[in-house]
Amino acid sequence: MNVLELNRVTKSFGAVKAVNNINLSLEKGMVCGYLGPNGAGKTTTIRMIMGIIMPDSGDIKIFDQNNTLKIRNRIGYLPEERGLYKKMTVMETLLFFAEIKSKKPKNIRSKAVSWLEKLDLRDNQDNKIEELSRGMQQKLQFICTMLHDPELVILDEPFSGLDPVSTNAIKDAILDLKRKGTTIIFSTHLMENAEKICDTICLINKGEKILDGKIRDIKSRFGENRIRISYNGQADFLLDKDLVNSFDDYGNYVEIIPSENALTQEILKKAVQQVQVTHFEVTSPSLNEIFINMVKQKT
Amino acid sequence: MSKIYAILKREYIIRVKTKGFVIGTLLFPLFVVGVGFLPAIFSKVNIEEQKSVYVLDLTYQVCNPLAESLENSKQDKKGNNLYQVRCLPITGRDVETILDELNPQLLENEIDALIILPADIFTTNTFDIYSKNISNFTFINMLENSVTRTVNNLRILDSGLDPETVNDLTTFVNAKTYKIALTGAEEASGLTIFQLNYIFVFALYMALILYGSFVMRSVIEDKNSRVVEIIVSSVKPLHYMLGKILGIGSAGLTQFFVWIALMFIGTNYGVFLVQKIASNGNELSLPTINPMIYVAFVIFFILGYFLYSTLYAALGAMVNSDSEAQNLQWPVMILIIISFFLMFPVLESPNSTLATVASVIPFLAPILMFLRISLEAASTTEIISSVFLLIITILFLIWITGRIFRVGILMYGKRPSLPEVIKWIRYS
Repeated sequence: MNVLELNRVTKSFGAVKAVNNINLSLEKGMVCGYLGPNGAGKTTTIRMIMGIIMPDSGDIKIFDQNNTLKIRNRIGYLPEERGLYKKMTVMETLLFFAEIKSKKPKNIRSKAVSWLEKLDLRDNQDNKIEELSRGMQQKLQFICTMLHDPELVILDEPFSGLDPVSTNAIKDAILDLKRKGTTIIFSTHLMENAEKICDTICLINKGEKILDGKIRDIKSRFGENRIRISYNGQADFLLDKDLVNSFDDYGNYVEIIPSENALTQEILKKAVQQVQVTHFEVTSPSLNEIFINMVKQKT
Repeated sequence: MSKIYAILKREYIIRVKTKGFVIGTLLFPLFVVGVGFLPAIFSKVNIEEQKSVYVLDLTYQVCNPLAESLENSKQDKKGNNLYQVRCLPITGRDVETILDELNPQLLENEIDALIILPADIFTTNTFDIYSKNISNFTFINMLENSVTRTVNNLRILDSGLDPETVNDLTTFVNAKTYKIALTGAEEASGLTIFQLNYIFVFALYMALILYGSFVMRSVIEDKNSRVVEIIVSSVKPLHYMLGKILGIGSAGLTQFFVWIALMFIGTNYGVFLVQKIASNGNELSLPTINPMIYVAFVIFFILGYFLYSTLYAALGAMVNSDSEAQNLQWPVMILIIISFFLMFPVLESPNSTLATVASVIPFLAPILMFLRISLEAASTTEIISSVFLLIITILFLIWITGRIFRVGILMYGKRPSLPEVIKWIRYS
């Protein structure tokens, strides 16, 4: 059974095709990164899954059923643009959002308390939202998304605007959910985040899917190795076309794409001869590069 | 349905808990009581004070009978005369000198009034009153009446008639007003009936505007805080709108029930209270309010509120900010304001064609039909048809605004034009 299945989903706003012919399927327990630059159509897709806007064509199945309000009670949704009622207290807020997901407040309270404990908000339980810091509000909203025990969690840019500590707390919470078998899809334009926690990804740009699949498969498909090297001295070997296809100087290190058939050892040997090597690492391409390459290829 | 209830409950609690609500709920009755009772209380209480009146009588014959009639006119609770009259000796001095002499005492309010009766008062029919408080109309009027009576009595005596007989023959003829009601004629004063209806209609008018715009602002708030996205993904937009309208409306009803309870206590027990405070409270009475008026008030508030709040909800969904809403809400406001201003012709002739027709038109009915019911001018058929038309209109509006709401609530940025709104209604 697929938890989520998008079939040729299309949505236009005026002349702009915000989402064009997107297919996507998500197995239970998977963490899927829905990636793309700003304006790629991520939020539009998510809003269609949440029934906030209707697709022009194509269909969306959730837990193998049609997309209805009742089915959506089993989804937790964190929208991109956060918002809570300023005058309500933390506890009132949590109970309210659970209630509109058809949960009874009295069954939810103890769970709310344990979530508040987990994200370090226990002492703020009776504070009004307007008294909380921005980071606290974001964490609270995250709890609102989770409190009704959703089987599918949809997070739209969950890390945007979070400080490193909160980012870590949310990341841990997501991994926690994953261990418990919750299916998660989250959108982000920051590929590094996706790389850390996703099993699968779906890359979109200008409303169209460019690439999807398991991260491992994708990386091996685009598996030309990279070399990261830091050194002191004059690195003439970088210009040797037999060894180095191209390179990017990032200041602190240089990233090398080796020429075809060039052996890593050869490059290292040359480097050691010419410069004082302080760091040498063989890596696979980052999602960022894969994405940029894919976009370049398409245009 | 449980989701409507969740929305309703939130709107209700968040509103009822505010300081503004608590203060408004308790202050409005105080305000009504203030408007209704305080002038009465003050005017009664003021009379308690003793007043000293000095008379400079250049006719040498008016002062004594005037003093007698003034001093006997009113006593306080202990039986002391309220008015102390002193006839000033003239002894050859001119009026100016005496006035100068008394000026400091007049300024200090030791003398409340100085009356100068000119020698030719019988032909000129004028005299002078000097006082610091010439704005105290009841006091000045009373002095004027007393002097007039005394002077007239002297004139009557002069003509050889008996003042008592003349007074008997020229007694003022009083009119009593009766309000014709279905339950029979009741004695009531026309003025208080008018004031009471005015207060009720005004309260209804304010409530419709106030609670209607609460709905609008609440929708705008949800839109701006983006809470709406989570809600609309979990609750049907129509249910969300209804929950909001019902929640805010319940807060309004709570307020009215408190008001009505307080007014009920006030009209039934408040009068005794006032009578205790005021020495002469017997003259003071409030007309008893027919309980049906309360019932009609609540019913027409509910109907009017549904009618207007659905419009306000749609308005809120179409705009992005309060200031934008200000520009767009005049068509709705005008409907309420028209019905408020039609109140005056309807009060004057509640059975005219204008009144009858206007009170059945759904957008005017909440205020005007309520007014005619409170005047007991509406027939049962008229009431039923106006309620029926209101309900039909409300259902139609909920259907249509629900569609506007559904699209508008997720629209940010540019305000939609009228053709766009029509498109929303047709395609959603």
